[in-house]
Amino acid sequence: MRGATLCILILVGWVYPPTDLFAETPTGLESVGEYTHPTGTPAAATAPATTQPIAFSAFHGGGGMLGVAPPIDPPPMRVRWTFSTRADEPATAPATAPTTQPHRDGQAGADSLTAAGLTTQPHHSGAAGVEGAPTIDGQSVYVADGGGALHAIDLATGKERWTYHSDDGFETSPLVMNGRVYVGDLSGIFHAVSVADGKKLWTFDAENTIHSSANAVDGNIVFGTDGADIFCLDSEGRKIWQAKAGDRVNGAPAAAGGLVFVSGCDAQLRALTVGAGEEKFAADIGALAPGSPAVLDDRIIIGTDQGRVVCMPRDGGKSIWEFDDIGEHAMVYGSPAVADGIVIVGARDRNVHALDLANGKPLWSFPTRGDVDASPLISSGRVYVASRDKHLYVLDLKTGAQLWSFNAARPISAGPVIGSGVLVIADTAGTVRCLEPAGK
Amino acid sequence: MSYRKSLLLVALTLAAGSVRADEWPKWRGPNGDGISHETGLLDKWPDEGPKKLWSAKVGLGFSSPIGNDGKIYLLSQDGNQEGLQCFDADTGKVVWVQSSSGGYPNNDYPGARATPTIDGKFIYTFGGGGDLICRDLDTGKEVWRDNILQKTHSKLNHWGQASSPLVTDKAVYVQCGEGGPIAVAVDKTNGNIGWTSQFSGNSGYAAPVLMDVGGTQELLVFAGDALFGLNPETGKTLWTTPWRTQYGVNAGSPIVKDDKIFVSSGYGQGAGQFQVTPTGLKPVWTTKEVDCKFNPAILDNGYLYCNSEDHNGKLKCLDWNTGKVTSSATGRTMMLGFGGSFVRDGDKLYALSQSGTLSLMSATPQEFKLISQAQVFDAGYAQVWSTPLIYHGRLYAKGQNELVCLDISAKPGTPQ
Repeated sequence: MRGATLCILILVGWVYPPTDLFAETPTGLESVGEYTHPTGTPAAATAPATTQPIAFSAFHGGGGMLGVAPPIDPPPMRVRWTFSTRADEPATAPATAPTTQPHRDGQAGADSLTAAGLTTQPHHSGAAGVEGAPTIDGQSVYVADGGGALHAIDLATGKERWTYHSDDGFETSPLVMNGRVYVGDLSGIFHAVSVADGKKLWTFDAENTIHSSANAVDGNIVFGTDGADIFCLDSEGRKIWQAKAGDRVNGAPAAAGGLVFVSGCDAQLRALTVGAGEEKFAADIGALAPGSPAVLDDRIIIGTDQGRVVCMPRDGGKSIWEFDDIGEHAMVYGSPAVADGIVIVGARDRNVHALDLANGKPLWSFPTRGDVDASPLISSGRVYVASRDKHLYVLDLKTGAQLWSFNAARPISAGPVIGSGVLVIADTAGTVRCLEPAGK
Repeated sequence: MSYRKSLLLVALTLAAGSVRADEWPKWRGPNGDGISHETGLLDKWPDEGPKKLWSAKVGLGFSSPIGNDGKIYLLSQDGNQEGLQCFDADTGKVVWVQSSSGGYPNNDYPGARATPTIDGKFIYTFGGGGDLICRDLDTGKEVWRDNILQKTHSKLNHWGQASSPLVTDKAVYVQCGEGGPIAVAVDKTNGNIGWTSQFSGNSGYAAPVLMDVGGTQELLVFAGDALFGLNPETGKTLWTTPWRTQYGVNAGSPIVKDDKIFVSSGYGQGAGQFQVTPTGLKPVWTTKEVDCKFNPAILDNGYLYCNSEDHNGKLKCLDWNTGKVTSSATGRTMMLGFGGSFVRDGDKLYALSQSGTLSLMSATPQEFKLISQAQVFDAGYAQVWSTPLIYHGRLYAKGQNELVCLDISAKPGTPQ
């Protein structure tokens, strides 16, 4: 039987025709001097001159990626509606009632919450889980899920307005601008979808997996890929420029002052010109950076692997300060939020850290029971941050005191989004919740 | 007689059959140390870089070229097809090509991973999807194949199967996947499973390595969450020590000298040296100074040469006895990226950065010094993790979709 099995296996091996590359005919050889790299790159579009700011809604507030959200009334909050990205599941709300009791009991770090292996699954969370923060634009919220569905949900009622389907999953946040939703998927296809009806307008093949949420600059779209490319497209999907990093670009590019700032797995922070993608500088940040930089008027803040937060001047010069006291040198996975002279980062030491923007000194830290992969938001003097311990926390920006928390009953990787007076949070099981201040 | 019994009863000489010193039939060369002993190589390169003799289209992946008997072999992937190509080393002419489906199935860093191993008249490949295949070296025709993941009821590692096969006089050893045995020994003549490891859990990405401990062979398996010493005849665990990284990525082969083992991995885990004692493993030193994420260090004359993940692939030299850094490369031009790789010849490193820049540098415990540098690929690529090969006066390097052959020999009349 063993021999027969082997024969079958060998036959199976022959059943599949070889690709052109591996054809028996030795087509692979290229003599020197005759080698031509396939081009086929379509003619680059030209950057349109733009004088008027164009409104858009993007991951972490877009622009300089400061993570500062519109105002929202203080907690407590209540669930306005619940939506499931899984079509076969009812939109129920398994979450527990909100708690007002802080859990600063010294027990943060309980192994049971990470023992499920959640921290060892950096990508591809599953069928319809949500890894990218939702985006609120007007009276709709847009959620792109791991199963490849982009949902447009009515912010008032939680009813689905439309669903757009991709062939592969999403792990990015939608960008909404000028009546279009832009989002990249894991197979490397970047999609433009009509806000009005969810119909496809165009797609662009970036040729490599897209973990980088798109940002908008001068009406154009910028995003990175796992192939270390940074693309700038116009609103019709024409490539304006393409730049190269040293390794995959997972974080959304920040844009400020005529430059696009990108970081990635090459441990470099690059500044590229908005118009042509020309590299102005590449600064060594010491370790890979999965998140986005926060770009202020005079400085840039970025979190990295190996437990560091780096602050450097806007010109990429020598760092102003570095904070390297994150527990166990754990990775800072998300993007920093900055407001009122305070930098907020979540880290895989399960803590939320607050640093003094001026000098990087720690102001406070808040322990959760899971990795804090989601990018925090700051609004109205409060920090809104989610943890893989299944909770959304609301903290006082100045003191770190817990003001309120919400148990989503599932780990949360995607950050919250705040807009139109409400907060929307999505978890790794695909449950989307709209929370509104209870006083409303 | 069962295979297991035969393994137990036969006094094994586990080292693979001897090969010519100038052959490079497997991952990290004939001695598994990454050190080339070629002579007559250029001390520096022309300004335009070494002369390119030929280039060939190949598939995706991080598997490294190997050289044997005047031929170059490379495993790569095109779509779902995993192909093994055999080239004439001098001309680049394709001697044979064999392919089959079953490569690494995901888009997350696509392509083949493990480097083939030549043993006698056969060549063994371990595909990204778990296909272990033995082929005739002269023709490429398949002799046997098996899917190790199916056989061991393991799931694909997150980033696929990457351990280059270790071939001895009887067996082929590879790591498995997630949730099953961490390693397996296969009869190299027919693909039959000899043993599955006693320990089950998460496998890693590193090639298994043999170690002589007082005349007894031990099989080192750098698994997903720990380093194991196994009995190579039975798969029983002799000792183990935890070694965890953020994503279970232990990829660099352990480095062995006498009774000491050096391991290192990325994600801030650092490096450490252990001593094998009669009672188990004893830590000697650890350091956070180096994080060898994929490509292992090279140990030469008491010093370790490492590509550390920090600062985008910084070369550092460590004292084997103390773990202290004795020298570091400085400046961006010598940064390799965390996936960059190198081989050593004399006091030089031939280093390939993950963006495709090839560097010739002197590397000693005192300093790293850049001598020459060249861009060798036509197409830019951010993930060149394949290790270059020095073979018969040429250097072979794999980019994204191309394999290039460069002349690095010092010929009469060549400026030195």
